[in-house]
Amino acid sequence: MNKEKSGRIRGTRIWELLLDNLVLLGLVFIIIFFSFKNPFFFSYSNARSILRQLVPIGIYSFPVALLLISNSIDLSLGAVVGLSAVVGIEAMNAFGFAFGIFAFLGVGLAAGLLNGVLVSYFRLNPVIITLGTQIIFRGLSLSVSGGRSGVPPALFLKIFRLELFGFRLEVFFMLGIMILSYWVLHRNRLGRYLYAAGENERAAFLMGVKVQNLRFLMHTLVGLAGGIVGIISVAKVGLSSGSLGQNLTLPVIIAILLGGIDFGGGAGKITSVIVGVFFIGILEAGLLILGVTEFLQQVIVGAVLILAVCTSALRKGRLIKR
Amino acid sequence: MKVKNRTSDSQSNSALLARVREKLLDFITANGLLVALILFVLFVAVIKPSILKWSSLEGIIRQSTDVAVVAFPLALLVIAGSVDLSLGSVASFSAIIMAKTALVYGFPIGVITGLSVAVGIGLLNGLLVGYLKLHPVVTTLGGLTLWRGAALLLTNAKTIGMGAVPGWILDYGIGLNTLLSMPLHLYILSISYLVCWALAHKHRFGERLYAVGGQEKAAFLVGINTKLVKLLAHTLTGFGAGLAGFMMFFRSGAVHGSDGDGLEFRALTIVLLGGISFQGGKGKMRGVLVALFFITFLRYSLVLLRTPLYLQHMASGVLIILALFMDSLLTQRAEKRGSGS
Amino acid sequence: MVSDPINSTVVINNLSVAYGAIKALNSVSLSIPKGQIVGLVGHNGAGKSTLVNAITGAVKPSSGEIRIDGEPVDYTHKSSPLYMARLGMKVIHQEPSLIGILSVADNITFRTQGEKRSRKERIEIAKKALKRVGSSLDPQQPVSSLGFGDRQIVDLARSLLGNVKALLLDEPTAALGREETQRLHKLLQALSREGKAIVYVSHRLRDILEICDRIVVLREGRVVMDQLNREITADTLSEAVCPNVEGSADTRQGLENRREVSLKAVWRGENYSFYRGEIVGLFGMAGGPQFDFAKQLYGLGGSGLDITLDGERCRILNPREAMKRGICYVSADRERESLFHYRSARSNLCIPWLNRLSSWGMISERRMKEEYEKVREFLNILGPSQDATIDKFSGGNRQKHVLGRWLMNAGEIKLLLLCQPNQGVDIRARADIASALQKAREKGLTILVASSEVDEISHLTDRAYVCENEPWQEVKRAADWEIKLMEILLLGVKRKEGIF
Repeated sequence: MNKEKSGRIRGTRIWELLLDNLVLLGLVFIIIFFSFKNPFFFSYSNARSILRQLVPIGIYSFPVALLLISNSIDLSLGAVVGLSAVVGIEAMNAFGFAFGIFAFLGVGLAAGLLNGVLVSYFRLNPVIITLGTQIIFRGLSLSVSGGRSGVPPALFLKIFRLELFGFRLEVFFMLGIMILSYWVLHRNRLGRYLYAAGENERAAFLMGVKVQNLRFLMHTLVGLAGGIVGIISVAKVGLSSGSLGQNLTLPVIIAILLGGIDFGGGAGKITSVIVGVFFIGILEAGLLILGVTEFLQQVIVGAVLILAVCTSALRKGRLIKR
Repeated sequence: MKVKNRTSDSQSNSALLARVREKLLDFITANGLLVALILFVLFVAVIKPSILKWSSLEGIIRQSTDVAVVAFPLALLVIAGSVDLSLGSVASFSAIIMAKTALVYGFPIGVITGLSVAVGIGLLNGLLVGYLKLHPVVTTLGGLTLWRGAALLLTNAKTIGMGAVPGWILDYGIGLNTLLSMPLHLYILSISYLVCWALAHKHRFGERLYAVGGQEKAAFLVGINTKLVKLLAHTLTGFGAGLAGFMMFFRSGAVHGSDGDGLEFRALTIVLLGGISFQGGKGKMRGVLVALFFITFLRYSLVLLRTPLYLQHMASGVLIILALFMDSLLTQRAEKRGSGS
Repeated sequence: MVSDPINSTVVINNLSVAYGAIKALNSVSLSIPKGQIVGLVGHNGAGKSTLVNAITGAVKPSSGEIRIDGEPVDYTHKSSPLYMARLGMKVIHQEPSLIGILSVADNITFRTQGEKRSRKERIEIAKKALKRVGSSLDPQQPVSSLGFGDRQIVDLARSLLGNVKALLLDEPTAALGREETQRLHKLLQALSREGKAIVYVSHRLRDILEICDRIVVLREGRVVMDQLNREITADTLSEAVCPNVEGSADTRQGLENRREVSLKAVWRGENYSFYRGEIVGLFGMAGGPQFDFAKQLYGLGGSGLDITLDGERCRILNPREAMKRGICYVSADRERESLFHYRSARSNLCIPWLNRLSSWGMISERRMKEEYEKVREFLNILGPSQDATIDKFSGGNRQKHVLGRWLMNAGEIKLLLLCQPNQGVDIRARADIASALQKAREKGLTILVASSEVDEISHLTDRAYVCENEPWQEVKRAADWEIKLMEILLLGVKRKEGIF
């Protein structure tokens, strides 16, 4: 009996080790795979373009991860980006640079506020609500843009395409957000409150944690992040359009899921989210380099999301029948 | 426990008033949507009487069938406590398969293959959600992208299927030909409604759906195979999506990978507006029928009234949020008065 | 009066807590002096937890006064638990609310002054707090990796931070071994010497008699005894604890002639047999092993029990299998595990039998209505029509639906497992249920009633096992057998026959 037990324990330990680092292994795998297919992949210049692809996802992933930890979610991510971009550029062209920047951020903030109020104070289901607000935001951006693309002023492109040590400002910004999120979650009591709110809302509330306010704050921050991503996306593409950010929501969710953060709230680390972000970023970049059609990309992204959910469930031990 | 007391006259008067008010509120909450629909129809009819012409109404029916055919099984799924956000993509993918197969092997085989694929996808979702206990929202979000991508990939974003639908069938599809002077779509809509209604309210499967969605643990404890129930519900929605794909195909004789975009959200809005609670275990099919007509009528009149496209678009989003509000209000009211003990 | 209100940390005057018409606490007056360990005992539902909750702010009293160090407390304050904690009222619950993903140190400092410090400082604070309770746990490990006893220690360490005037412990030793209990007791004595007031709620009379200076007995929401430990005997204590039981006088003959074994089960190495047509009680503490036993018989949670049912050996792993073999189960948590709230009364009743009430899958409303009528008569269900939602029925009548589910086909099932069947059920309904169970058992059905309420056991069963120590001790139905049951439960020893 004892022998059987220890054998099984050793087996489970290897299995657990594998699972914990599955994403990291996967990351290494796809890097090798893509480099094989195209030696250009593993080059410095390519790393820069990968980063460019990755930054919007990265900037969004961290605040959204915090949101998920506190047991809420936002599916209107891409739509907020589109809306802030459209409104921001219109405002910028009409009223000047500073105003435009305020518009970008303001729209994002307002969107986050709306989601936050509906989810936290009216206690409505975040999944459906943000699906609803997503439709609203998308509709609004189509209306404001009138279907046309807006062109940012030259100053805008000049500033936001500035490079430092060969990397655009946005990369440093992402680093900043990454460090800030890490600090909030792991080094600040706010992070502990987030974990508490996500894991055991009632206990946290009884201990004086203002759970609803916390969630509201997180939603607002996610919205603000959306405004920032809007700026970056416009800088990247060179125009603003109502359909900007369309392919952003899912990769962010994937990055977070792969990063070990689950829908039930109360679990996950920033470091694993970083791995998740790199995974999806490199995957998308690699597919781009391989010349894979946009459609096949969609198929792969969808499949990866489903696999990510599976690994998330595996990690929680649900698939392991004891 | 209710204890009967003797009340004075004035007390019984105000009690009566309160009872009348309760009954009125009951009626409104139960049939609010119907009332809203009737009011809305009257309102639009006053502004643009042409909407009440048979040709308009017939057009509305034909247009709403593909959403209907998805919304009814989706209602069953939501009652069971799950959801599927990939239905539009599955419909499109299944339609593509239908068209491609039909071009080679003929229309009937094409249709059967397409429907089977849709059922298969539903089955897959059912396994992932029911047996592997994955989160239905995220999983089907993945499906949303996956099947849409697959549909576009297989056709390279081109319209296909021309000529695959036999002429006489196409006549029914585009409304040229009718059965008993009603478009075929109406029959399809009615049959799918009746089947789903019967399943929900007259068949033992429905009892189990409500049990699983309402109180899964309790359902498990009375011996209901909760996993199987969810699997079947997902498979049924898969079939619904396949049927929607068929509708898209047979309605125009051709399909494009981007068809049915947003179908699942429209269907979900209808389901939620129809009084089916997202929590599960609650709601009646007839509410979904009313909601279907309401939404379709709304869309149609917005087009007719020349409202800007973006407003039309936003209306769905607002409606979903309203539906949730309503649902949460109703739940709160029920909790306040329902607790006996 | 034994206590001195002037020197008391906590004084309670005429405190009442009412839930609707039911008074969980009925005008309780009590004072807890500095440096005294007060034991609080009572049967299940006597109000012990309610009293603790009132003092620590988890529950708002309906009337009465609480004074801390002479100052009356404003208990209408918004976040009461936090407020009371700041006033020095600390509580250790049976199940500590800790955040599993956070470390021991994080949990200890959560929402305290020390929370704002750096990580190193927090670890130091935690170390000191742990040392104070005599523990050398690593403060950096996550709480989720800790066992039950260690979690309690973390909870304890946490509650001793900051202002501590009174420490209330609710069933602290329920999951602790002998050594851990001793350790805890030593700590409590040290704390009382420091001048802290301690309230110790427990059903383990042995523990209570060991360290409490004074013992207060609650019964049905009132104080029935308040004396110094040295003035009490074990007898007077268990008698005081026993609730007023209605109508246990009838000594039913438990069908002595039909002694056919229907179920044999092995639990923790001991064999227990149950016979056809009998109603057997499984009596224990709230959350005790009797419920686990019932659950495992139904295939819930765990690896199943080795049982022999009607001569056939088997091990049941899930409810569907159990039902196939003729075993049925009624959960103690009626609202969450038995009822389908938005469904009609009829639906709730007929839910397990859909297959036989339908033809070609289509439900026969006529047959369902007939079956419902039969059960309605059988159990005397009172309330609106069978089409009404189940929530419109009173608690007792809802329970009748739940029981009726199985009793509907009493002739076909072999074993009926009931957990706390009388919970939230009014007296009249209890009588209806009891008579229905009597009628059902005549069909040869074996009924097991798992409960933590002695009056339920006494009301319904022919004989009962006290599930406190293994092997479980059997007590046969007799006059005043409730006191015997309570005694065995509280003292964990068997009373010699006749000396009673």
